[in-house]
Amino acid sequence: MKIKNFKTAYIFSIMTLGFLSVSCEKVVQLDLNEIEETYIIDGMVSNIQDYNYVKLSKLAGFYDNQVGEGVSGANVVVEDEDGNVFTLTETSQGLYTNPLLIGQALKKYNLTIEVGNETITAQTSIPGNIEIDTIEIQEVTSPFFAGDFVGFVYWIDDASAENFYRIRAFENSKKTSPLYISSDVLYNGIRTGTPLFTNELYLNDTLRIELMQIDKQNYNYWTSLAQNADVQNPPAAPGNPEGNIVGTNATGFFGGYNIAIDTVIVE
Amino acid sequence: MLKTTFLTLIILFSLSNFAQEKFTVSGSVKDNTNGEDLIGVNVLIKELSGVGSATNVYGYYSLTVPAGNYTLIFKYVGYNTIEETIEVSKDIVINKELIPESAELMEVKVTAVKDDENIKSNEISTIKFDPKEIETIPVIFGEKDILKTVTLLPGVSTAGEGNSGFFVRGGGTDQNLILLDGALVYNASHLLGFFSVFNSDALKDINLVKGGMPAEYGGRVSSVMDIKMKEGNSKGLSVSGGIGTISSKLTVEAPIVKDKGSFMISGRRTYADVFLNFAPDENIKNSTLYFYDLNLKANYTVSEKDRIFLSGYFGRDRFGFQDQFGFDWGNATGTVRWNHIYNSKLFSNTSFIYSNYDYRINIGAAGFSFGSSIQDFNLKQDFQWFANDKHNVKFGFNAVHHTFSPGEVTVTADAPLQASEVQKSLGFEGAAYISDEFKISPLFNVVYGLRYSNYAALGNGDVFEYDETGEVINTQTYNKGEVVKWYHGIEPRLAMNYIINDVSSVKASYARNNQYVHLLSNSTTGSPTDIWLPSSNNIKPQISDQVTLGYFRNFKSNMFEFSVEGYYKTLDNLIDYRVGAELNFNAQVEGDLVYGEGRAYGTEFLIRKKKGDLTGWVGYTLSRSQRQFKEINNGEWFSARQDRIHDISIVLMYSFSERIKASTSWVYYTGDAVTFPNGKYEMDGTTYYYYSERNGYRMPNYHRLDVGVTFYGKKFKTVTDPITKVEVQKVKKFQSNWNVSVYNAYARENVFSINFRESAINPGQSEAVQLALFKIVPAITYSFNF
Repeated sequence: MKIKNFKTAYIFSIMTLGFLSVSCEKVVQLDLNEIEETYIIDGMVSNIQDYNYVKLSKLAGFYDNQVGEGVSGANVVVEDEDGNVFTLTETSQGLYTNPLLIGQALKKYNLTIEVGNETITAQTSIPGNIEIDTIEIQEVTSPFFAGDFVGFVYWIDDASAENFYRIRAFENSKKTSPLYISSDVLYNGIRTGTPLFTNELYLNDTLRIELMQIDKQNYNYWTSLAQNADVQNPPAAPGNPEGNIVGTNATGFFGGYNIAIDTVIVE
Repeated sequence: MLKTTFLTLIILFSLSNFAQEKFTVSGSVKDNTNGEDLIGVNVLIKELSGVGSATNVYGYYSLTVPAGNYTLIFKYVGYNTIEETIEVSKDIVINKELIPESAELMEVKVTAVKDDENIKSNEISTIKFDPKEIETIPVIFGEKDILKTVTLLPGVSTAGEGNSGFFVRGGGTDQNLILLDGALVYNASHLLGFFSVFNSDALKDINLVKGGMPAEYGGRVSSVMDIKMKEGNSKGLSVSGGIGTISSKLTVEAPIVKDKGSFMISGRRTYADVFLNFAPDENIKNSTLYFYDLNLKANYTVSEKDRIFLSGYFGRDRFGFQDQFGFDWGNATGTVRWNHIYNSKLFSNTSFIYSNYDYRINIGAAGFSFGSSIQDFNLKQDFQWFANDKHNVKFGFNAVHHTFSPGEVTVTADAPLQASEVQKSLGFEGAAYISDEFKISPLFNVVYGLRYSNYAALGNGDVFEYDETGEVINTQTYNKGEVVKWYHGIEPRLAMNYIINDVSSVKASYARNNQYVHLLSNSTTGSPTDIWLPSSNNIKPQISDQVTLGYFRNFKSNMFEFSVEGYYKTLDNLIDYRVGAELNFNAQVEGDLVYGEGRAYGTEFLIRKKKGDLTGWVGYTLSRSQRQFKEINNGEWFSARQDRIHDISIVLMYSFSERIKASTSWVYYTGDAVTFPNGKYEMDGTTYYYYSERNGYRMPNYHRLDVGVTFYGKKFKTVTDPITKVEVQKVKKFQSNWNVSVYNAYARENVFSINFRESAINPGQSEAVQLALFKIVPAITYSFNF
């Protein structure tokens, strides 16, 4: 339930009505400050075996041709709260994995990365299990929506705790980028759901949903990213999210996820 | 402290009263054509230099003079001066109606009032507008808008392209006290800021105070915009209206009982949605998109000493799509007011004021709706005591009860959400003030005063305490009405005017202001969903201190007015947000806030020509506005978004003839301070941007030219005087005009926003994209009155 989207729809509708149709877009070249050398950590530990990874990369300049250039040769170790240690090995440039690492619900995980002379650490937790209740496909005809169908995902929130969710959607096995981040402030303990408006579905499309339960810190991180990435209604003062990475010249997030997966075909 | 000041004043004045037997001349001054009270009419005694009074906002004046025969003079710009011989041997009441110059027969030579108000008045940093004065200035979509026109003056700048929000001397848009007939207007804009809620046809007088606020005003740290609605024609029926590109409006005024009471109803509605019906798409046809305003006012003179006013404003924006989605918001205000004259020297005004702002978003498709509101009940008592020829004292108090409802959700049976409510905040805001306008000598005037304000955050459930990172560390529960936190403060106010000679003066002022309610808004344009939050155990009141110094000089028999004013302002307890702050539907939103301070300083130059065929002004402001927060930019000072170093505006109005008037305005200002990314990185396969420092970059400089021409219908008709049989020109009852305007005449692509994205042509390559909203926007409006 994002208020901003409605505002966007509102502005959009006025524009389409032709009152502000004179607006125009232009690519401009900006004179931006140099970046400082910074490590970016993107990590996931979840209950799904082959999902878990740590990506170590370098911050790129805004006008660089490449983003996410991997950093090789780091020692990457994940340790769970019971003292089980998993060493991750580099499978492609900057991408570290270990097939034996399978996250368990309600456990804490520590990440340690040694790269060059730096030691970078992070701690996260995996929340309890979650299930997708249903995925519904509805036919829509709206001037604000290009597709023929829209998907709705439903689940039942646990009343006893504060819960946070992130949803990933894959359309015909291609990940669609916008972030769905949500907290149970407005639906604690009930069957709830959300429309996935950014997935414009057509007949025979496959929609795969990953409903991920995350902790509060993880929620805060992705919320900040989502705000910065909101092109239609950018925050007046964007900033870098805090994350949970400890170390000099390092930022990013190592997150614990409890994931439920379901797939439907639009018929 | 207040009591002592008050007693001292009384003693001071009673002493000076023993000297000689004195009497009071008092009364009210109105416009002869429509019975509107005239504000600021100079009432002078020809024989006694330096003795005079100005009518207050209800047209009331009072003068104290020794017994004798005098010539009483009523002078007001734009009206014929009246002189009248009077004999004062007891207190007397003299009510007057002045005749506007324009209503005169053409042959009659008018005696122009010496227009040196800016030199003589001790108002500093004050902008006054008669809506009529500015009606020809071109504006976007041809919608006359005082909030936009006021930004053409030094020290006031617009919140953005086409936006009706404004910044005063480096302050925020939420730091302006906007009053409509005394009622606070929380959200003064329609349609996401493109239009203000003020329908110029319903307005009579606008007063913007940028510094040295008189003690009767308080509650916002940057400025006061006091707007008065018309009372309504008490002489006869009059109708005015306009048909424009975006909206149409109609105003009806008429007496209730001739010369005793009148009313005014003014409505405005946009009709974008009318065109929706022509849309080929069934879905668009079923959409809703409009806003309306309704201004109502009535007044009735109950007795010679009592007058009652009722005024109200209702405005709403509606946007919707079938029954699936609806979004509407608006203000409602109501004022009941009672003027009472206790005696010829003591004037009282008692007001009971209601203000409400709310928004609601209805997701019919999913079976829920949510909204937020703020509601005030305000009792305000003002006295004006015309003590003697040296002192004019104002004192009073007001008490406001606030109810803030930050968010609540209602649902139907199978909604994905449950009904819930973010706890309401209750508060009591009180103030008492006293101020004295003291004419120390004919050349030296001082207005000094004190305002004492306080705010009690009242309990209504849980109250949270937060640690450095914004996590709750303590929760305490308060009963309804229990005081959670109490703030109070003394706000000294001082304004001085030293008249050097007939054409020049020096003025200075100091004012402190406390602000107990705060706007949370993390978007650049402002949004109907922005919420107001009161001071609490976590949020301290914002405090500003401002000093100003100005030099005023008129040239060529007051044809040109020149002024230069410097100011320095400090701001304390300002609010900013943590990265990722969630401002809506967040019971612990205070944990997402950070607090800091600000400073703003600058110099404003204004040269204005008020007479002749060519009128207008040139304004230039050189200023800075900066902020400092421990959590932002390592605690270094940084530019506020509205830190516009240079700001120029030129407004010219030329009268080719009685029937054709042209106007043009040109504005230029330094681009806003903004935050740009300088790096990028990938998370889960998506590129995100990396920011180095807050407001470290600048938008391109802004400039724009607007032009407009107004064609008036014939103003006069030839009639034969029945007595003298001479043909004379008489003003026609029905008057009309066409206004054609062009906004952004040379199609400057002013940047509304700069966004960042991946290039569609070269994947992996990032690009900055600037959006310009309006190129050339023509508009045409037809207006009439009879």
